[in-house]
Amino acid sequence: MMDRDANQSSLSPRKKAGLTILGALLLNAAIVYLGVLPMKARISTTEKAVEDTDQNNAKISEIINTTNDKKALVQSLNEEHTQLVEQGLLTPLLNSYTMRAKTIIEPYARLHNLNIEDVAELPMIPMKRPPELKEITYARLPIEFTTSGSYTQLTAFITLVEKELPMTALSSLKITPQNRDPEKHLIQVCFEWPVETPVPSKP
Amino acid sequence: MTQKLHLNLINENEILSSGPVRMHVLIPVLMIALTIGVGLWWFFLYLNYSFVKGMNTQKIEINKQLQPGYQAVQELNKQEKKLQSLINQLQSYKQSKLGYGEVFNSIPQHVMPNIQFTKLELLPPPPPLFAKDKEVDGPTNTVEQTAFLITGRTTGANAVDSVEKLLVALQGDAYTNLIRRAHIPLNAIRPENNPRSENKEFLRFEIKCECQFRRFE
Repeated sequence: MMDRDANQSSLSPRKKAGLTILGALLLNAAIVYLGVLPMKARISTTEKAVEDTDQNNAKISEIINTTNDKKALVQSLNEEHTQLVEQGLLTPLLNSYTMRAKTIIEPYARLHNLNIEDVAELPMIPMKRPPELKEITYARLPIEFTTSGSYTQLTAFITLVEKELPMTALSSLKITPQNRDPEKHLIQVCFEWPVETPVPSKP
Repeated sequence: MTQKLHLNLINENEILSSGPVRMHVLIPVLMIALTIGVGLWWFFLYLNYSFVKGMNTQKIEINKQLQPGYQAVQELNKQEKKLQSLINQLQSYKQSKLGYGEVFNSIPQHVMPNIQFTKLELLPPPPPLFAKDKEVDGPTNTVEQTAFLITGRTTGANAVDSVEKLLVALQGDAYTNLIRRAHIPLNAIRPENNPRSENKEFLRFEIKCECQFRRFE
């Protein structure tokens, strides 16, 4: 009587098989959705990353191969820059641009019997600065010299300065006659030079 | 009258199929095999992933090794740009230079004896143009206009002719390298208000010579 009850409560082989199939299907679905598909996605992503890194490495290697050419170019630019600086960039003498300008100009003035009576530094004129220049840039610095002499002396002096100093430009000039000596005019001649200046900080 | 009586004496679970293999045994076995297959699929994918990941690590390592060389080239590029900009600034300044000396030297040959210069003035550069929305130092004028003014007095019957001759000479081909336009501004030639000599009538004049542009580019 008890065996009969047990037989009735236990599942039939068909039902057991059905349950096994259902369980296996669920398990397989779980493996596919939770294991296989994410793994495939990871492989795809990693393969893409490998490809990208590989391409990047190839590009970097190509860039690195240009190192020697770049070094040569930078060196030639450095030489060109130094040459331009030596041609007439105004540097301060004892922290004074005025003093430096006077020492440069005075010998040329003396050659034409002009005596420099006064020297004054005028406000600096900034030059257009490319964005690459973040530390130093160049500006124009006008320096005014006061002297007296004849028109001929002055023009000869200006011609000589323009010829001998390629980076020195005549910026302004004022010749006014003096009543006490009509042949000796009051001359305010202003030359400008490029000077190195730090890039001003943003307001 | 006879009546047929059907008795089913076999239990349902005791009924055997006609096939040699029982389906309720075969299908679960196949299912287990399928599960093992899917598990192996996952495993091989895992191995593949491990291999690709290893390769990626290797490539990243190579990339790290290339970085110092790459940084050195980047530094050289920065230096190149900076030097090029400094050179451009100096070159543009150098090229903007105008030669006044020779012109001033040759002007007296066009000045008639009845003309006397009272003032010669090369006007100072205009103040830089600042763009309000840009940084304080620029960009500033890339083109600058310069001009010089000749102020003088003249006398005599041919006073006006002498001034005109000087003006025509300044407008001539000999000065086109420097002078773009020479002209007498409106009402800039007029009788002198307080003549120094009562016997002579003097004319005051002003000639404005607009020079070529200084181009800082």
